Amino acid sequence: MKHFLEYLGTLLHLVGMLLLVGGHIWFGFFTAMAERRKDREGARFLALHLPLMANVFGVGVLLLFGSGVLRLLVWGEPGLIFLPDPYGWLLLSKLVLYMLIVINGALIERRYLPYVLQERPGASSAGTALHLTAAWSQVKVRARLNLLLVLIVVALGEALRYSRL
Amino acid sequence: MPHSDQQPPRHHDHGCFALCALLSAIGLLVCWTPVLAHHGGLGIEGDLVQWALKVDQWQDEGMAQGHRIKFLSYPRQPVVGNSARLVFEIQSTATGQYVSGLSAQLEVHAPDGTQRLLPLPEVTGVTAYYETTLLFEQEGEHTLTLHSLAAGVPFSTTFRKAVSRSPLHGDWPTLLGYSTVLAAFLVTWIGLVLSVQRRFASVWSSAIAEVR
Repeated sequence: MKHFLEYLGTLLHLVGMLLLVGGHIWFGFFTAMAERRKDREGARFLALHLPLMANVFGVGVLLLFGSGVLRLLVWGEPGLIFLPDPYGWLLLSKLVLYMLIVINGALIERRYLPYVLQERPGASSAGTALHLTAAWSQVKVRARLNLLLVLIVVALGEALRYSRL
Repeated sequence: MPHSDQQPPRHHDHGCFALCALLSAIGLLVCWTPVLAHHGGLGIEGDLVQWALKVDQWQDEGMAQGHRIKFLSYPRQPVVGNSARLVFEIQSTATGQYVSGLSAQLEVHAPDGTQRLLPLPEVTGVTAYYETTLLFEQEGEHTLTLHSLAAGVPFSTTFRKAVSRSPLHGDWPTLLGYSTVLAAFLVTWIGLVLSVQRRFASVWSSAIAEVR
C-alpha cells in the first residue's frame, strides 16, 4: 500500500508538473512570440483561452501540492520536511517559492483576469487591442515571474534528486 | 512602409528549434536517474525514493579505540510511544575497512535514570551495520552507549538522542516543517476558494443578466 501511494504521489506530481510547468513554459513562449511578431490573432487566441489556462494551472497546482503532501505523509518523517538536513532546506525553499507562485497566480486571476476577459474580443471579432491594455501587460509580466519561480522550483527539485552526489 | 503582419526573419525558426531542443534536453535530464555507488545503504524499505531522501544520512559519529562509529535513528526525531530504528556503522580508522562480525550491545539511559541493555546484532547482508529497534517510553534526552569488543579490546562510544512528546511537539526543525506545510496548505486553500468564487461569481452574474 505504501509503495502504491508513493507511486501514485510521484505520478500525480509529474502530471501536475506537466500542467503547471509545461503550461507556464508554453504560455510564456506563445505570448513572447505573439509580442515579437505583433501577432494580433495569436494574442486573441491566448486571450480567448485564458480561462482554460487558468483552470489547467489551478488543477496543476492542486495536483502538485496534494501529491507532495501525500508523499510527505507516506514518508512519515516527524517534522515532515526533513529539516535540518540539506534536503529539508531545499524542500523548505521549494515550499516558500510555491506559496509565492500561488499568491501571484491568485493575484493574476482575481485582479487582472477579469479586466482581460472583459476587454477580450468575441469569437467573431477580427482584431484586438488587447496587447496594449494594462491588464494584459500585467498578466504577461506576472505570468513570466511565475514561470521564473516555477523553473527555480524545478531546479530545486532536481537539486533534491542530485543532493547525494 | 513596414507591415505589422509581415513574416519574421528566418532566425526565429532557428530560435524555435533551439528552444525545442533545450526543452527536450531538460525532459531527458528530468527522467534520468543516476545510479550511484555508495557503501551499504540502510535500505529502509529498499526503496530508491527513501534513498534519495537521505534517510540513511548519518546523524552523528564518534571515535573509540581506533574505530569510527556512525549513528542514525529512523525516524530522525523519535516520538514517545513509537519505536525507532537505531543504526550504527563501525569502521576501522587504521585501515578504513568496515568492521563486521563484532558482538555489540547498546546501553540506553532514559532521562529518569533507568537503563536498559539491548543486543545490537549486525544487519544480515550489510557489512558493519549494527541495528536495533527501541520503543521510547519517556520524553527527553536519552543517552545511547554502544559497547563492543574488537580483537580483545573493548571500546564504547556515546550518542544522545532527544525524544519528543509527539510529532507536533518536537524541536525547532519539526515546528518549522509543520508551520511551512500548514502555511502552504492555507495559501493553497485560500487560492482555491478565491478561484472558485470568481468562477461562480461570473456564472452568477451572467445568470442574473439573462433573467433581466
